[in-house]
Amino acid sequence: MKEIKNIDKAVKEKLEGFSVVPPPHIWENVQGQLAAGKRNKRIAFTRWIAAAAVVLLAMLAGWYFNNSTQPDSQTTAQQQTPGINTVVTPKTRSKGKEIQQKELIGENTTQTQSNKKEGNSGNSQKQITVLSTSNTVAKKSLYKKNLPPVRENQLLFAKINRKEIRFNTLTTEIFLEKHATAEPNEFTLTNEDKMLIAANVASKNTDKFENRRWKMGLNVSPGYSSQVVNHSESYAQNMSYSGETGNTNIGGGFAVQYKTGKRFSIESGVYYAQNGQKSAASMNLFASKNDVGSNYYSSNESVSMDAVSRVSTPTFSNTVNINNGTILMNGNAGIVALDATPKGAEITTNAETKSMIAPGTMVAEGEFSQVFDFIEIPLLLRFRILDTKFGIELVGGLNTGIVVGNNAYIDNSYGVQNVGSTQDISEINLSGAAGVGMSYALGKHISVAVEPRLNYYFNSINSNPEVDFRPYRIGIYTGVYYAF
Amino acid sequence: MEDLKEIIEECVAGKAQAQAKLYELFAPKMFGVCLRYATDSAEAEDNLQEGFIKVFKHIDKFKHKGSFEGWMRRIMVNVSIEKYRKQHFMYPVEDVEIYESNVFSNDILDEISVQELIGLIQELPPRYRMVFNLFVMEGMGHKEISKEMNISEGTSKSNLARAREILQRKVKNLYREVETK
Repeated sequence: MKEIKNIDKAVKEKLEGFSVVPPPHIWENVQGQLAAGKRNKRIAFTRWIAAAAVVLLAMLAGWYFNNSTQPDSQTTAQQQTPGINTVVTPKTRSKGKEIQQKELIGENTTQTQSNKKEGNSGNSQKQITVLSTSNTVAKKSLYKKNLPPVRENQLLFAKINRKEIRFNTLTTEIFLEKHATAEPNEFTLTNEDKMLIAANVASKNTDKFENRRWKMGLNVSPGYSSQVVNHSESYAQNMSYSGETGNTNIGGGFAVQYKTGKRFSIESGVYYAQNGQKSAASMNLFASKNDVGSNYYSSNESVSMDAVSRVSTPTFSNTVNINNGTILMNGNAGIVALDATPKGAEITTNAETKSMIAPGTMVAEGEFSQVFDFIEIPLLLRFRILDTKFGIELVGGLNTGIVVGNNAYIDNSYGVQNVGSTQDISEINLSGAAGVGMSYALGKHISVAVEPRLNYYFNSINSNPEVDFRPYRIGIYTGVYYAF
Repeated sequence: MEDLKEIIEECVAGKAQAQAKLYELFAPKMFGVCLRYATDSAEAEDNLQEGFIKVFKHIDKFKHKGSFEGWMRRIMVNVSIEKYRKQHFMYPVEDVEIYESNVFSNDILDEISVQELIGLIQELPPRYRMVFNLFVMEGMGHKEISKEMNISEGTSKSNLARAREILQRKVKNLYREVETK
């Protein structure tokens, strides 16, 4: 064993300080790649700026839409066309392409011999006309001397990486330019070069097709909204009804999508949506005026269920709190502050109570509803399952819902009256969204889409701890999209 | 090395001059490291290049705790391991029994040059070379090596033994050649 240790030790001692000055071209390569990295960062940064600008514009458009129902989407179209046809190095493009190139190299390494023999077959070299380059020629010949073919390929690949390649696919001409200051001279391309270039051209062509990364659309979304609701016991005791029905309504908005990969895209936009609930005229839960007359005073606090069960005509009845002229009532979605006694309603108070804040009962015919209007800004991830003319996408993400409208209505023989608003409603709420989108391409740019989507608020939109009110909405988002 | 700290900070700021200086300072040593792990100098050059790009990209993560050279060296070793993994992912896992070492005198090692020794190490089968380097030069244990290389500890041990054996034989042969000249 001692012997073994000694070998290790001897080798270690011998090699510990071992150093060799590496050939100078390595530093050049390092420098080149670092510079390329910086460029990439800049490009990525400008892309983010563009995306942020679009979202901002979308928000503004959404607010505008909320007021005038005519979003001005065309202005944004000019804002974010990214520099697609500018000079591109292979490194700046997507990973997929790098892999393609690497695979190609892999193939080359195994087939170098056959490639050389096959020579000029394939259509790639037809497209290559001009190539100006520089001192890399000298380097190449240097390597040819003492390196196996595998190495040569990799070097060629690295070499091409370092060049800025300009493609002009329409006229089928390719220019290779070295950006460093060097004297241009010409040489004929090797088969490996040609294959690489052909691969680049091929992917460039598909790129052009896929480069329609942006999509903008207008949607209308007829939908149904309802809620999951829970109340604390004390709150529920003073609430003599429980309206579980939802309401149908129409929302709509403006969407922007950005394709991040072959199948993934992200979406934002601005939507208008309504969430509300009605205290439906449920026979079991509503007391009539007569019942109140005979039973309310006897039970003294709230309408007993016995009284409710004897209901004949649907009438709204609830315990209310009268405080400094405001009438407060425990509604389904939270405490409603009534501006005044609604028409067709009567309020009875217990006159014998000593306290000034006397609980009373409001009796009114008709349906009572609490309605909230939301401006929603979604951040959705879309995954394309079927990528043909007819497309299917899975959609999921988050929605920021800003409450812009908060109203309580009573609908009785006097018509629909806005009677007040719900208290303690949080202005900004977060909801989850999930859906399935179906689209059909009408042309290169225009497509139509239908997308059932569920929006579900994670937390109670009412900050009152007594009330847990989480609305949800199922909407059929139907719209027209413009891709560019 | 107050100087080095300054250079590193300037590299973090992305100054090209500092990057050049740092490269100048460490490239020879790191090339030495890469040479030990590679099959030939071309592969070592590739790894050195890749390693330095990583160093410059992540230099802001160096917290000035411990030696910078060690940090850099670790990056080079990682690049080498990564490269090995990519190239030899199909390498069959064989279980070689542990070979007991023959008598081996240090004197022979003294005779051969560093270049010759590097050459012998490079000639080792790739996995033996990796294990030998990680164990002897990096001071890693078999447990750590088995994790890094995705092999069992037993394989690591037997590979190391095998690497030693091959090296010994090669050194002896070389020595004999030298002697007979």
